[in-house]
Amino acid sequence: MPRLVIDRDTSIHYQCLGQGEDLVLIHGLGANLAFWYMGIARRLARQYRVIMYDLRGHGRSSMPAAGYALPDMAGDLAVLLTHLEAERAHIVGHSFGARVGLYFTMAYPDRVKTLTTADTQLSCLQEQVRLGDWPHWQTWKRQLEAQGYHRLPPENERINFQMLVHFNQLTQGFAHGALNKTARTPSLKHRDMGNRGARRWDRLMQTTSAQAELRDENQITVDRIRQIDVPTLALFGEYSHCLASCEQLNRFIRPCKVKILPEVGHFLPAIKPRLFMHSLHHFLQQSHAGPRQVRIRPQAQPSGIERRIGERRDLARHSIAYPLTDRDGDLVLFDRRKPLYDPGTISHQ
Amino acid sequence: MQKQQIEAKVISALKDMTEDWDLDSADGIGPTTGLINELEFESIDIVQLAVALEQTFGQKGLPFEQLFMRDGDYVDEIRVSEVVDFMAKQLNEAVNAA
Repeated sequence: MPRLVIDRDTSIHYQCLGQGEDLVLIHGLGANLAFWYMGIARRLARQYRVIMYDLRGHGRSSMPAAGYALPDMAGDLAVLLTHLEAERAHIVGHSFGARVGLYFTMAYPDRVKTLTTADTQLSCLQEQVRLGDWPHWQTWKRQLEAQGYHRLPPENERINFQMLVHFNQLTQGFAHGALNKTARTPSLKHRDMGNRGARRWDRLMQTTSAQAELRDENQITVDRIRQIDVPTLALFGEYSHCLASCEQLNRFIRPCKVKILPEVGHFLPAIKPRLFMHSLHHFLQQSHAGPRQVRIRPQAQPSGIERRIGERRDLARHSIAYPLTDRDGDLVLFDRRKPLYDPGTISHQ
Repeated sequence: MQKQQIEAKVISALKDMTEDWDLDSADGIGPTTGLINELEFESIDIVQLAVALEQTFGQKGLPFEQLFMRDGDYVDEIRVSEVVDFMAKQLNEAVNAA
């Protein structure tokens, strides 16, 4: 397993697939590079050199006692890219990985070709949503209870990375702190943690400074976000609790494209990999178009999406108004029943 | 390469990976052993196995998604025999292509 030694305590496990322009995939907390490898990485590798790595403390990377702040995480990526002789790369991050990608773009702008932030929540852009205020919680809660899961977090708790990991462990039937066998086997589709993954996560939280350092977002500010000037894609799920951050990223980053994938939540890269990849690929192709931009006009919306258009949703004092459009005026709700690309609707500028 | 040799190499790679794991199974690893239910493989372990098999058999870029996906969906179990069959097919195709 390829491993890059950063310092005496830190080594990073990475994998590369394919050839072409460099494209980095950064996973979220509690996950590892399999999040991408088992999904879209191999398809992307047909056109790009896909670089995946385990964040420190995750997967097969080492677990130092300290050094989990965003500058450390971004520094690891910088060293990795230098090691792989990747001068500049497309950066794609999901959840916490998107925060790393965002900070990396701020700290090392000359090394970034494009930035894709997939479903991330930023404290400078939105308050953390309370579970009970998340519009889709009641539906999901009924589903969980119907499957026999009753140890659910209280509804006044805020959705953060620890809650997301807890849900992952919960659906494994894993009693927190115990070492019982999982009630059901880990799902490859959902990249579930098994017993060993859950133990590793517990060790990260309890024996290192990660819990405090991972929460610290002081290095990401609105002023620094405004300074980002690489082509950026904000790619979020319709059911996500992070949509307020999506809206604000669109507001502050120029140029920013927005795509909201329908009928999917926070884990969109794993749950809807083809749609995710299609949106990403389209954005990357557009970012290559140069001065002669190809604009894809939105197609007629089916009734399902028409119901959602025009709704105004409140998320814990942060409103999302539909239709949501990016700076070029393109409608960003993705019509799942039709391909994004339709030659009949292309207009050339 | 004969299938028996391939099986021996696959089982050897699996034993190397799992020697420090606290597994319940006292039967060892054989053709019917399930990676997910018996060896408790998680997705990162599948990746590690894929890398190990490419190194063991001197191959690159093998389509491992054919092992963990079927009819467009992720499988619930992968048996050692399926890994062996997969490697045999890939090695055979590599020989034919050469």
